[in-house]
Amino acid sequence: MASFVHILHDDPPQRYINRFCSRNKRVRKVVIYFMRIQRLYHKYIALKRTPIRDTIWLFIVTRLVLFAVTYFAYLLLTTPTYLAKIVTVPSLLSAWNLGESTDYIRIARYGYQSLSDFAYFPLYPLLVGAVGNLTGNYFLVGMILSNLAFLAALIFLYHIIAFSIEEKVAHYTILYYCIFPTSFYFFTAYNTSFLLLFSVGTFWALQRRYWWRAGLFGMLASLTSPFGLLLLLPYLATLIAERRALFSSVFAFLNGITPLLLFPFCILFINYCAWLATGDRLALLTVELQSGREFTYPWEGIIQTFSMLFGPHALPAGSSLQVHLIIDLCITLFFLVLWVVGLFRLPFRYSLWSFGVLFVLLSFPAQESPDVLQPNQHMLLLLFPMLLTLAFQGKKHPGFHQSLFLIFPVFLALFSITFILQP
Amino acid sequence: MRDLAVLLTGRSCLWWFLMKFSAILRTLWLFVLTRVLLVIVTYVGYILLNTPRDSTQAVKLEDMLMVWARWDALNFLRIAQHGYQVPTDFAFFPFFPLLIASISQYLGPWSYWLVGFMLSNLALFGTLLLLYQLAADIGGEKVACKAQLLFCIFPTSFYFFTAYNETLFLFFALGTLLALRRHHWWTAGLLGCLAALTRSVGLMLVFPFLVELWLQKDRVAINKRTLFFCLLPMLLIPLGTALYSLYCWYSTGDPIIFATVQENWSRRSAWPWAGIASAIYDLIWEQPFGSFYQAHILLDLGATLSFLALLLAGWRRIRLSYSIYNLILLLFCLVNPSLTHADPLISMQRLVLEEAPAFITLGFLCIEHPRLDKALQVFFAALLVTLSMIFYMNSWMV
Repeated sequence: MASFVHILHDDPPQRYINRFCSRNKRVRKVVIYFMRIQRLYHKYIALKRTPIRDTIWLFIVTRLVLFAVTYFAYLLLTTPTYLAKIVTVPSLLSAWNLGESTDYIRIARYGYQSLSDFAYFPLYPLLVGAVGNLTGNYFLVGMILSNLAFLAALIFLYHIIAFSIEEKVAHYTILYYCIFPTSFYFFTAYNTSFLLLFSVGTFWALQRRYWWRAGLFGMLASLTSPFGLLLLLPYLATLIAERRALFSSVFAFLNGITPLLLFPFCILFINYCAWLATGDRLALLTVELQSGREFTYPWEGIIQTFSMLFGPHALPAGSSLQVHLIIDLCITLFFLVLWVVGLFRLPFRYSLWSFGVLFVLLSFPAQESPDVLQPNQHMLLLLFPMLLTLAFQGKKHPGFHQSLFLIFPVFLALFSITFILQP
Repeated sequence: MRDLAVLLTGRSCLWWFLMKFSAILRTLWLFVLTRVLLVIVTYVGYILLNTPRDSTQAVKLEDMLMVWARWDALNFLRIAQHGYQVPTDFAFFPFFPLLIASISQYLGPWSYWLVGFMLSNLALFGTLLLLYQLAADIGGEKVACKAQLLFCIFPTSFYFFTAYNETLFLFFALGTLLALRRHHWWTAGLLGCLAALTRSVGLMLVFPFLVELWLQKDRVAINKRTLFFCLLPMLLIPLGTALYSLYCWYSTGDPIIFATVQENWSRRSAWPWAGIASAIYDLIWEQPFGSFYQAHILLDLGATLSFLALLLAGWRRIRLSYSIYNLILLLFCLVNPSLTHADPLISMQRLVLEEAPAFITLGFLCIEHPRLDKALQVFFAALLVTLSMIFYMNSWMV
């Protein structure tokens, strides 16, 4: 802002004034005025574009890095030494078609076929299906859409943080998001990018008190994943914080409250569709019950993992399960620590929402899997306030930032390779 | 002398000590952090790539300890343990295996790998300190730190982690350059001699020696006696190569067997551009997308062209003797390409590491262009992990 004020009081260079206007004083004044406005506009555009350019640059670089990692790792680790075997581009890309990605692509292609498919909410497969029908390559479309959504989320996020906190912190947050060890999930056909985009969109709208837009983003998030429903928490927190303005008139009250209905409406709508397809009135509930996720105390999953690692019947050192447990436990504890650290620094709605997501993830661990904390790997990526906390720390301690900037890409490459190549 | 007197009194001395101490601490932190990261990458990567998902079947820890003993590391360890046995062994210069053997013969046969690994890593720490000093002299602390970081996370810097002789050579070579810069001619000659005993390319340190003498001619060419005593240490460098030649002559009857066995790897003398042209031709016409050799040509050609570009970019930025050192080393590699091999620039991805002063240029460029800096850091760290995994999974990476 200071630079804008400076420009307003700063005359354009004399040579430009001489070139464009006569010696008439009034004309000169008008020209100088227009030139000031023009310079102000250019300065504004430059300010606005630079962060977007930086974000796009970072996004492109990390996508290229992930592609290079895939190329070299897949080619040199799957092709026997010296053999003239050729790996095609589709097989190179389809190396990423693993885990939930296969389910999303199958649903996009063939629709919901069984009751268990309804565990995957419809917006993402619907989008992939709509575009994939035109191109024929569903997985590639899924990947591209996921990456574009991630880019949009990054730009949104930058603006939220730069607007409310500080540009440098915003920049660090974007950087950490791009190189976070499990951020490869944004690269493949997972719905995490869309969920992040809609969550960030909701917070953006809440920050500006655009209730209907917040409701709309929340609705889209709820159509993408059941975790979208948790956006009700920051919405309610913001409503409470704005209670004076809200109770000032009936219109303001209705304007704030009505969009809340959009959240449950989505869940009901999906359940209705599932009912039509399966004949089960409570299809979503049945899916949840069948998934093996049962409510436990939030610390149960962590204790179970600890006992599997260090208890009397601990897993043998050097087993695949042991490594997975260590990774998932570290990620979970890392986010828990960040939540505690961020509690005193972040706005209340950020902490509340993060608590909600962490609570649900930890209270419903994947009991059917030997690695109960496994889903946390990609779901925790949703918690942008945690990376915001990390950015605060990074800004405060440059050495810490430098170390993170070294450690994160190392783990990103390591996890990406093991994700695509583990037998 | 006056500078030293000022330095040794009061605040200056304390300031100098603190400066050095903080630089050493920073270097130690970078060294330890990158070593720990490579250990984690080995542990996690080796287990996950060798066992099925979520299985409780464990890999043998003793297997994991040996995963970094691959390719030439095995040759060095075999020579250290059993001496030179076949003609191709003579391609590996003796100082590194000799050093391993001199320690391990007291510890027992189990220790060869461990000693080789430790020596290589300790030499890396020394190299990092020397690189810091060289870079700080030219560009200051910021450039020095950046050069160190980029050197440590360069995609093929995993060779510094295993029992290869690259770090030992670099330690002697950079030591020579620093000693030359400080006018310690005898130290430079001695370190150059050890470099020449470590790798064949060590002989080329004669050229930066000559350049440095030329640059300091005002100090060197005062009279004939001074000139003679400055030139004399330079002869220690070819002496290193000559000593090994004598040994080769004594063992095999061929004093340059280390050069003649290079044909075993299809290496023949050619114009410097022949290897690059052949690699580009192969990449475009011979190798289809997604072939094994395409990936290797990309790595080798990319490394070669990047260091050529760094040589040009650094010509005016860094000291002339360092640029000459880079130029001569690059030429030395390029005039011996493997033209009949599917990858004509074989091993260039590793050999470019010897041109460590190029990292000072890269440090300059990264400080000047923050976007490039960020991109390179992410790119280098990710590729370092990828190539490390390819190496320890025993895929061809020489």
